[in-house]
Amino acid sequence: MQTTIDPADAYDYFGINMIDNLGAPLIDFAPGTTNTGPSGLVPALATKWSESADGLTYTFILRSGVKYDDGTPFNSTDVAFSVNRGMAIYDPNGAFNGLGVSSIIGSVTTPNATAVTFHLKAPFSAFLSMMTFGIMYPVNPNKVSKFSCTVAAPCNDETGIVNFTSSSAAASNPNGLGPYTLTSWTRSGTKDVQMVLTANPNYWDYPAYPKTHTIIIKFYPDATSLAAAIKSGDVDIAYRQFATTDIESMMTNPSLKVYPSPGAFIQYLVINENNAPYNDINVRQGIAAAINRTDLINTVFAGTATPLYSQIPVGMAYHTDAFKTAYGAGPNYTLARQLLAKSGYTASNKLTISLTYETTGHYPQSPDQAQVMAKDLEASGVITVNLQGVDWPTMHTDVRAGSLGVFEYGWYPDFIDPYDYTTPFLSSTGASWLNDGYNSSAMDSLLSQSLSATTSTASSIYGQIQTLQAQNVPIVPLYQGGSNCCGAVTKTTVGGVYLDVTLIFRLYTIYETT
Amino acid sequence: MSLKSYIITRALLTIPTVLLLVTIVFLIVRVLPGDPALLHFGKTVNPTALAAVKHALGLDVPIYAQYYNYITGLFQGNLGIAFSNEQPVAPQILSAFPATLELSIGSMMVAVIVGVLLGVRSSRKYGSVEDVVIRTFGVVVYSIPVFFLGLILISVFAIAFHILPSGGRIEGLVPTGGTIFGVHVRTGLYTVDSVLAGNLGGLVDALRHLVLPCTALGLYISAVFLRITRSNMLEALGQEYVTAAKARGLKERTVLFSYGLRNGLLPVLTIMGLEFAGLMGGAILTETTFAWNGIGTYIVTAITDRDYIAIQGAVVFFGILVSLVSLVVDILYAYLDPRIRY
Amino acid sequence: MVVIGIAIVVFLVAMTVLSPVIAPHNPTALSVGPADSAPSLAFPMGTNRLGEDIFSRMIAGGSTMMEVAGLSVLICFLIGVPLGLVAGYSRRMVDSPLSLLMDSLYAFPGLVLAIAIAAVLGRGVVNLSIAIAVVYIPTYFRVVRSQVLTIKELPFVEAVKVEGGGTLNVLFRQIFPNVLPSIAVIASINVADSVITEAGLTYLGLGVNVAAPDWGFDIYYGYQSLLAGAWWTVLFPGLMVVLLAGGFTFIGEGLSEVLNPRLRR
Repeated sequence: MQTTIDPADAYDYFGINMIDNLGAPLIDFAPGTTNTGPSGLVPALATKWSESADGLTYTFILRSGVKYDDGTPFNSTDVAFSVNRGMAIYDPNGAFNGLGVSSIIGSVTTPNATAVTFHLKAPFSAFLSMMTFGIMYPVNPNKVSKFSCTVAAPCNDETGIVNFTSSSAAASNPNGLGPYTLTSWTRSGTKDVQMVLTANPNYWDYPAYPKTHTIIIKFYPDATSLAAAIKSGDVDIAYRQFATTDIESMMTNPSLKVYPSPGAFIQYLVINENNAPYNDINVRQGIAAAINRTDLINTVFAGTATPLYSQIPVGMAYHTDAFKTAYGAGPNYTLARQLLAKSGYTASNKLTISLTYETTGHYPQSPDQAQVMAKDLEASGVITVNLQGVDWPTMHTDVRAGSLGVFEYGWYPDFIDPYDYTTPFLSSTGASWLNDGYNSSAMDSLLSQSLSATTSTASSIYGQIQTLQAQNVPIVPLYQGGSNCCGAVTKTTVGGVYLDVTLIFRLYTIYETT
Repeated sequence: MSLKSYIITRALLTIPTVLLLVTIVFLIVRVLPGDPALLHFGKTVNPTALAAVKHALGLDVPIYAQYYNYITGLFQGNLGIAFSNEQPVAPQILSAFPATLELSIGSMMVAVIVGVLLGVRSSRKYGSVEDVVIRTFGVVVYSIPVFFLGLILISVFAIAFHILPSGGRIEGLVPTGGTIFGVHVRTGLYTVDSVLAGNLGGLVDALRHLVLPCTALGLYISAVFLRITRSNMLEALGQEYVTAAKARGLKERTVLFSYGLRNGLLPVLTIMGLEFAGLMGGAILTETTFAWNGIGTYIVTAITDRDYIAIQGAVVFFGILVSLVSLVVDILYAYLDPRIRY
Repeated sequence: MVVIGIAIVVFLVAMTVLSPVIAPHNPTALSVGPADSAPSLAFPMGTNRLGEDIFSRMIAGGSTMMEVAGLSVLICFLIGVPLGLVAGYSRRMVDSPLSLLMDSLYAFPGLVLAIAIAAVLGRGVVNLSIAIAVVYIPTYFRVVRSQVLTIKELPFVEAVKVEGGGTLNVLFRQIFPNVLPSIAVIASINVADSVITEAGLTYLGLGVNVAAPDWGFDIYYGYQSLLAGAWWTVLFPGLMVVLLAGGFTFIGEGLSEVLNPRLRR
């Protein structure tokens, strides 16, 4: 895990989640929300916001009288400062670079102490969602050190980043507008041991939140030790990553409560068209038809995940079940055999594919998933599957080298917008990290239209994108959510746990009953 | 050759040994498949960013340059900057080491106590049913994979009966600035820290967390001590001076403890030193099973992250440690047996 | 003791070799029964989380472990013993660098070395065997070398040299047979260690392919079910490993007792 909860640099799930609890955004989604469109946004540090007609300017009106946890007054210059800082420091593997913020935001101006305006370089329909993402949370300018870069001349200035320091929790935390403040952070080697959060009386929504004054976070290296901890009563809440059998048994345990996650984590099969026979459209469509999502979910995840028929998950705006429309709920062996027969694959001349999966626990139960998928694909009678397990770093590198055939990957959203599930996967430039050889000018055109789409045109454009994906099949979506990756388990004496599609684990809504 | 020059020679030999070790690991990690720079990028990568990271990690210079930089750094006491979080390696290792040390000492204690006591008993009752039972116990315990034993212990004592915690080193209640469970962390050995501060609650908590992992690892090693103690005791007891002592009418008990045990124990001490090296392998699996944040976890994480510098640093650290222990053991041996010199 | 050990090992090897014939179900067939069901008449050892029959997996699951353990001991023997013989017998010029290299390898945390080599070479029985062998070669080397150091000073060796026996002759016909008993002891203990190390590597995700059943793999994945109360998913694979390693340890223990007459009274 990275050693920073600095919004300018943090890009791992946990770092961002800490920022979510130690800092505050301008706008947010309500806890437990099922509406992830612009109408689902609620005020946080900003009370009102507006968008210009051309989509190039966004203005936010901020609350007045808000202070950081150390008493520093908060105003619009802090927002501008934080965003500019993120764009100036340019850590190559930070989120600002990964999301391409500098190519979205042109400049930030502050008309007065409670107003801040963003001027975009081009219309970006996902901008408001991006503002809810942890990296955009304002930092405390008194807590960050000088840095030499500017937005015009960004540089990789490591000293400008606030990193973990063992001597002081306060010095490790440049946030300070959130419901909690960090009072203790202990690490050992490269692992976090413990973090302690205590209520921040300067939080704009204090005393309604946080509900619990002190939270102690303990870290466990894997799903099984986490499950052991919650089962033996060592902890009150356990979050993120469990094994299916643990979930099942905890669901029947009277002293525990299980919260499944509608979360936006998805897994999918990528088909690398750079290599034969995957450049054959019949092969790809045949695989899409033969996939058995139900068996996968029932056998490996005890039915706690949701089958996914589109790259855009259920619960996100503009989702359609494109793959179901094209191939049926599956498995559709008749259709699969027809498609593969077109390229000469029959029971006596089977299609051989290689399926690569990771073995070091990066995704939930990958070896199990691979086994089940192989069995179901082979049940079509015309496919042979060669399973290849490699550890995560090897897979990560092999993917980018383009040497694999079919491989299973996953995705945690950066922010909640269908943009984050389409362009990074289907654009000939944006999807270069997958190196799967997919290059469709029709898709690229649709994707650039989606960037400037308005609420009236978005539905149609995204609908076409998903239909086209189901036709071209560069990627076969498998499932989403599930308690394994993103669920929570608590003692029955704990309440206020909201798990929603944003995957933000809000510690400040949690309380203890009795 | 005198003892003194033997010590000096052996001490000097440690340096090339460790250097060779460093070189081996340096080469091995660079053959590992997987690009460490690439691992920094979860998703999209642009070539400029990748090049920037490669440069920051020092991977864009030729291998011999990387080697030279690393070795010169080593001689200055600098273990380098870790790839995974761009922080210096040495403080990370030093912060993780006390956990492994506490685990090792605790396990060694369990191993010696169980192994020696059973070994003595078994040698006394040579040929009896008790002897066979004890020896079978030794074989069985040696054949149980440490993580399997650990899993069983956890499921019985932590899950089924809620007597002991399932993992971790300390409970961690409301701390007060830089402490864990009100244990002011000074040495990093929570038991010692608690004692130093007179913190009974902390001591009890730390011990509770030590019980299961030390039992799992300690039992596994106790088999070695059992065997060695037993065979040495048997050998010693068969010696003429023992028969002579018994002939003079000394009680068997006295004979056992003053003659047999004293001579039987010396090899035990040397075995303790040698087993220390083997402890690390067991420690990795034990630490993984019990969520114990020590050097074992550090190394496994570093390998997963392809963090070359961290792996090298941990191996160097451990290599020096083992060499020092071997040095002490060899000196002890030489002191005791003048026939062996180099 | 030796007899018991050999009996156990022979039984397990036979069981594994005959597994395609005697296993009631295909060990990798998913969902032959309900997931995580307790031992019953249909499934004497129960089923695991994927509905595979554990009994069949136990019968077939030792093959990887045995192959790896056997192969790695062979490699150790073929490399460690000759090197030890040479080092012990030769003058400092040859002995020093060899010993230095072995000491360095010995100081390397064993499991880490195995993990690294396994990661470099990739999966597969041969690669895993090499990874484990490299860890244990120094032990063979050391033992053989120290034995040779002692033996070569003995009178009968001197006698052969005086009579004009060449180096090779002395090494292989005089010294080697006397070193053999210690090697046998080491080898048995080492096979036991190899079994455990292979289980450990699988536990860490570095084992052979998931397609073949493997006891170590089952222990790791069974733990999830264990926490849910399905003790059979972990207990049986664990017991199998204990049996196999135990068998070899019995052999080693027994041999060391037999070969060391000073211990008998």
